[in-house]
Amino acid sequence: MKAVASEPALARALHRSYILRVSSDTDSFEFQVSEHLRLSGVYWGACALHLLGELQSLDAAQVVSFVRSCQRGCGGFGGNLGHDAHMLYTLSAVQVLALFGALHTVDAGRVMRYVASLQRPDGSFAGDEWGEVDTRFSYCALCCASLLGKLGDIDVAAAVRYVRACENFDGGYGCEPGGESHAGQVFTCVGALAIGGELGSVRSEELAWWLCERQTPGGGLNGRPQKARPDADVCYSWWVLSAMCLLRRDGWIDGEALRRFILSCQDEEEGGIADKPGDLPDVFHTFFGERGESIHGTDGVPPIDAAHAMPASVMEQLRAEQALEPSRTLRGASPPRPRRGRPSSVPHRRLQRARAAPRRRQSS
Amino acid sequence: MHNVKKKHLSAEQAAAKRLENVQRAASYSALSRAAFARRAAGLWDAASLEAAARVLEVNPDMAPIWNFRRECLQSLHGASVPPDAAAEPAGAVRAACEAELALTQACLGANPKSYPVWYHRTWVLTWGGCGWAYARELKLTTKLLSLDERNFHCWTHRRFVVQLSKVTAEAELRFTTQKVEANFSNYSAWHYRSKLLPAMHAAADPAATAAASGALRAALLAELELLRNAFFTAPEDQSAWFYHRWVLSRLRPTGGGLLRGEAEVLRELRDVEPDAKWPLAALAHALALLGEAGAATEAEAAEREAALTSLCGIDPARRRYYEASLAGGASAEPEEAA
Repeated sequence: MKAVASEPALARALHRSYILRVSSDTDSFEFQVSEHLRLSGVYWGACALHLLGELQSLDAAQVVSFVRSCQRGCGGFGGNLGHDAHMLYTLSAVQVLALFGALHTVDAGRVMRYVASLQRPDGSFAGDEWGEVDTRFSYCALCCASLLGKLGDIDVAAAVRYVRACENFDGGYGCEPGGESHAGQVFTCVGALAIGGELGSVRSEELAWWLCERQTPGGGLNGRPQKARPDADVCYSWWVLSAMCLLRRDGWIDGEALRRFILSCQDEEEGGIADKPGDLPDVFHTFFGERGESIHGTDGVPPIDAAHAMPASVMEQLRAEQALEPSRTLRGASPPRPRRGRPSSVPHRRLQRARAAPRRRQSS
Repeated sequence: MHNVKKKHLSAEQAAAKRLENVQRAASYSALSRAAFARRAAGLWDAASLEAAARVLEVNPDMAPIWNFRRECLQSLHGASVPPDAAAEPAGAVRAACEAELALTQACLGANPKSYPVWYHRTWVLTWGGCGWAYARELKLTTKLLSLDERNFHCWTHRRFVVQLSKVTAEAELRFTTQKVEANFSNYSAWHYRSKLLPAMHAAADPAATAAASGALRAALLAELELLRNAFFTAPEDQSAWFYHRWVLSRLRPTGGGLLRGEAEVLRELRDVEPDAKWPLAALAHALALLGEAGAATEAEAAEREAALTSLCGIDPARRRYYEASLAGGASAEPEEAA
């Protein structure tokens, strides 16, 4: 099923069957050895299918039931059945439930008690009870709270203060104060600040310049200045572009060249997108490749909310439900959702821009 | 998955590969189930440490099994270890810590970028009060950074050990000097300098603020000298250019003297390679700073515009960034109506 036209296009049908195939190949080494991050795998696969308009290919009841079975007594979620709760998988669980419109099936207050229990006096978040601290976990906490409509359950001001303390000379952010900037961390920190309503504190011009310099001559993006050559990788399409979108400077790279790079990483025989041309594909990069396409509104991939890393349509639905029926996710004990600044107003604005943008080359 | 080439196999080769893959999966799965079973049975003992190690050797990212290991260590030796127990060279705690350091080192050999492995190492050093291991640990990071000078996990671990063992900022600055002189594109080392220099010259008491800022200024001027070496050695390497922009902004030049001197160096570079992007971009930036300081002549303002216009042609992928700079401040793109 190669594209007939000479113009490269996103191999939608192949990617759909690739995701479904690898998700059910439970006997493979790759499946077994990724057992610790199964919930994140479900998020990548389900979100990728959603962006292809194929979420119905999954058995929603089965997925939701699996996600719920990963919840632990503490309220957090493990990466798999019987695995310890962790911030990373708690966010994945909430994202998957939101994708399937099933957030009401969990007690949001209980999830948030777990998230809040991991916040430390300096505003940072630990990943779990063992105490590893990283701005990735700040993002997880803020994103989780925002999706559940419960930002008031954590100390947002302190969380934002900690993220800002991780800012570097280049305007980017590291894992902890003193840590070097890299594109993945820039996404988590800018995303955290966007959700926390503090995007104004970012040194936007410098950071967006650093981000647009991630584009390599081949069109693909790398994660840090000249780590090695050639070092462009499909997953940075998302990390870099989503941060640039939030800073409203995504036009500072050559979007068409990036699109061609992503498409050159497709496996046109068996589906899936790899990190680099000619490599083996995986679900993670298939998702990140689609997300890169989504941000530029190319290949018919619908817009995505850059801060929450969720399809825009899902976020709109979620916000509408939360506005109409706050008790549904707040479950009884329902203090009104505090509005600190304008949380998530920027991502929302971005969505509207994404929709207004012309769709280039809709696989003609 | 990163950097795994797709190979085209015959049907026979593919079947053989699949069989091997499925066997590996089954053998890993058995190890994992065995470790979880011991944990479920509440067995926090030496045999469980063994069972956990077998899983982690195959899958170092398996965080719940590192948790199980820590539970075992705490069960065998205590939730936190008394300092005298840790200091005992022949003691059980020291032996336990050595075993953890050896296991994590082996795991890092297989995957030097595994978050859970690095965190376990950090945890052990703290839990075991491993003062005896700090010097060795610092040497290990030096060695690993000679193998991969950009491994940010390793740099993070180094900063952690430096803090524990009270290595001075001066010593670390010397380390980064060696690193950048060996390879000017070591962005990680430039980054570290941006943290070390202000920390070294921070005023300990408020009365000394002026002296401290004078010392920092002198240090930053010395950085400009170092950067010149970098520019003339590798003008197309972006690492030093990012650092250059920071050094200039930290110097907060007010008069025109410093910036004009810098612009002169950049012109010299540009004249050697007229189509090189970075000298031109840095020149445009220096001239912009001159403008911000209210010290730019009309000729300098025009030179800046000409540089940015050239850049649009030399570096078309980032054309809109240069255009935004030309339009006065590279601000956000105007919002479109929804």
